Amino acid sequence: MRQYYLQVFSKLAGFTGLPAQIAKVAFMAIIDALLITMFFAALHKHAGSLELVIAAVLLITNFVYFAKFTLPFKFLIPGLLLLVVFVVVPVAYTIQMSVFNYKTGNEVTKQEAIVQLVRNGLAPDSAGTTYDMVLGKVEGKYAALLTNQTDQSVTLVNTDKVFPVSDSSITRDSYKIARTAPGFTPLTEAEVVAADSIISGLKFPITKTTFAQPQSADVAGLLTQSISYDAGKDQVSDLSTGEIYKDNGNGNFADPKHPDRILQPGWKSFSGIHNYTALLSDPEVRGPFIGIFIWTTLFAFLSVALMFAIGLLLAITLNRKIALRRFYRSVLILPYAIPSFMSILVWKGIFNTQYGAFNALFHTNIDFYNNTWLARGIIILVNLWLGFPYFYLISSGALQSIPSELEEAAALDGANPSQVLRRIKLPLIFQILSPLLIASFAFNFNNFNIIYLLTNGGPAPIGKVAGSTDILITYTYKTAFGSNIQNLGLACAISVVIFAVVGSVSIWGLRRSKVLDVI
Amino acid sequence: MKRKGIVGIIAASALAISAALVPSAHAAPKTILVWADNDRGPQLKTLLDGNTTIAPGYVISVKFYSALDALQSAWDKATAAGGPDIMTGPASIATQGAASGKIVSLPFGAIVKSQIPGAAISAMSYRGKAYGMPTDLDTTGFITNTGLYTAGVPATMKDAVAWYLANKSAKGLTGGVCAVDGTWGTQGIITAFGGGAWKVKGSSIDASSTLFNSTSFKSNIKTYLLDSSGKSNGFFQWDNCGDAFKAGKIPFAITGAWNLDGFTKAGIKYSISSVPGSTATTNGAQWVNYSGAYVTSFAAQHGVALGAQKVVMNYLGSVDGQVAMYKASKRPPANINAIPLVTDPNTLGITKAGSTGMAQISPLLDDKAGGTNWYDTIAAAYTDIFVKGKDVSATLDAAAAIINKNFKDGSANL
Repeated sequence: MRQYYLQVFSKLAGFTGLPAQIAKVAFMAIIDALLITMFFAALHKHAGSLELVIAAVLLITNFVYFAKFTLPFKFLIPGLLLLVVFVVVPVAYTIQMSVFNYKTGNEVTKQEAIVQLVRNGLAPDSAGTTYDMVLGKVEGKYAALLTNQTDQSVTLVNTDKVFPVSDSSITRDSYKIARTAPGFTPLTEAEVVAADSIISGLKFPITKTTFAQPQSADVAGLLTQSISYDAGKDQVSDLSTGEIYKDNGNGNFADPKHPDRILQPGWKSFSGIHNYTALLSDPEVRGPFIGIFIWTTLFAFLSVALMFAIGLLLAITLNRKIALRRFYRSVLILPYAIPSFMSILVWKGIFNTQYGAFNALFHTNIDFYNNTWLARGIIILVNLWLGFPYFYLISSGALQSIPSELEEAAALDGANPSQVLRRIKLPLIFQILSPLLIASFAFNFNNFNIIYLLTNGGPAPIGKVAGSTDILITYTYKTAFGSNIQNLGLACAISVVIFAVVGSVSIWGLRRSKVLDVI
Repeated sequence: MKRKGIVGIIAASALAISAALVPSAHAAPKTILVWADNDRGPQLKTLLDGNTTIAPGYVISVKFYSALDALQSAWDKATAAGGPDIMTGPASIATQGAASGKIVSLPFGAIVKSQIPGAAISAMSYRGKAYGMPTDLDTTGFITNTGLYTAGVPATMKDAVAWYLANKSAKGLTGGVCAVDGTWGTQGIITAFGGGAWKVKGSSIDASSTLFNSTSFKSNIKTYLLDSSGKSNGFFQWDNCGDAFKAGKIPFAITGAWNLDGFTKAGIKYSISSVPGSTATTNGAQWVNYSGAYVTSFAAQHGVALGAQKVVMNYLGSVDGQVAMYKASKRPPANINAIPLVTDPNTLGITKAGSTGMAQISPLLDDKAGGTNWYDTIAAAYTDIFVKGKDVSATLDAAAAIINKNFKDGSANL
């Protein structure tokens, strides 16, 4: 059997022997080189788990193409890998993020948030003192030779203490910046650059409450620290007010006495099913969500139903021998041949209140885009225009695939054309086209382009993000990216709901049509 | 043995090829990555890309995106893996970046504060800390098409309305004043009619109650901006009206330096002035905002924090840096010591016009505790009043309720 497969493979490839081996080795060498390059690049950029994924792909690919018992996988593995990368991983990531408090202000890790809180707790001293700084070492520790930019006074300090320096013991350059001092060994430029990560976090104590911190390689500021973090108690203290902030379990340090008083930034934190329950319990989310869900379903259903009805009607009409049939067929597929975004923009212009062709032709002043039902009607109309040629084509194909014997037999049994259509052709067409109808429903359920380009979800009432023509996918987009304040976790939860609805409808439809049984 | 040989060949070949392709982790000097949009990017690329002298020991690399939206989208997704060390863009980045922990605060010393206006530092502050180095002034001026309106500049906005209504038919006008930059640009117009975001008291603001539903604004809308049918009389234009201004169909516009070249290329002759107010001695107060440069928290993770701060503090904030950027972009510099070095008449005109504007405070305007932010809320109100003809008072009150909620919430972040 294996030999048979090998022969089939060889015939399919049409390429055997040593040249094939050389080509295979060369091909795999290139693939391996690319994957190894990507692996090191990911490693270099600290891209998290990406390097592990690349390493896994590298190992799997080589195993499949060099093991003898994995022949079927040689055909399947490219598709499977792409499926994993472009479908499984995004879906899994979306599901994962939907159970996190992940929004503007809660985007980084807790550790990163703590670093930022402490870093942002730095404040300049009351005089705003800044220094020209020469970095070096004193007594083996990092040190700074500081020249006050205002009064040119000089301070020598390492990370432990200040060293006394007299003006006569230092040398200054032409800008009066101190360059050398006794016991001070300046760092070279290369040493400073190499130690950037360390030096940028150094604190050189000047007084009990102030310290100089490098603000670049040659400037330092005199700062105070107003925020501190106690790792043991996992709490943040505001040193200026004495207020304590504790982890509120929702991705922020908050004042226990005033839970609304939170510190920013917060972090991405696990929130369980909160984003899902918000869809039904939070009035700010629930209201638009339910309305949009109903409109999305209606839009997808009406679009498919109308497109199919008109496509089928035209297919039946043009399936008969009528004059100019070829011409009509060619004309009917034109809307399908034009890029949809162009068509949408043309239609958008036609219904423009001020400059549109519709109002100009009929001498009306109809405000199509600011009336909920007119805007929805236009969306259905434009979608119908874009989609009916497809249904005309597939309906024509389905009609022509029905054996003429069935029609002839029915006619012999006394069936009239209407009965033939209703009792024979339509059931068969539905059977053939069910998967395409379901796919079209799924497509229209997520038809982002037509909504975004035609109405951008509007009209929206004052104070509402969701517009009257928004469907779930555009609402998700607005929630995630619509403004500077984004709620990515909630958007992921809505995406998961869309996925579940479309998946369920597809499975239900496919099972009812038994099309998979036929396959 | 044969298979081992094949595998060996493949492994060796792969390693050899990849070794040639893999970037060396120890390549020197360290790179400071700057992100910008299509507007500032080309200028920054010319000024900074490949530079090794501004921050010795580091090389600067500028990456710019096709549009501000594209930059914002990339910034939204930025992480330490691939994110920039310096971000450039509007002041709204300070609010979002500070809240999300993507940018670090910049504790400015007295010398910086003496050179950068307090309003500019405030525009880039979040919860009392400065997060960005203001680089240039983002504001607008009142542009008069001197080919259409030949009597200088209208003394008041009401005069402009009167002239528009008198000449609408004869000159084929499709609008009176165009806020070329959308709802953001309407601030100068609505303040001229008694509206606006908040009250200004000296150098401070009072955001406890918005002016968007003030009595005078309601009255002026009805008197000057609506026709007898209760809908717009066409004077006030804010939605994609720039082409009509360039076509000579609108006599007045409010926009910034970035659109002036386009007007010139369209053959429009124009003057730049402060926005006329409700009386001859007052002005409309357009938004005065700043663009800036921000040191990201990624810079420390990339080991270039010192270099990035040097570029931002010592070059982009300096007189030399801002003059160089002004020469390339024609945008007014933020550093007050650089302003006297501005010679371009358009830049000077916008700078002068901006002196009567008011500070754009992103934590208040971007907040959406009430449902939608300032810009989306007023856009919906404009549509309801001027397009749908809804009741002015009820619409403005509804919008003001949302805005007041936003301001109350956003005040915590000032």
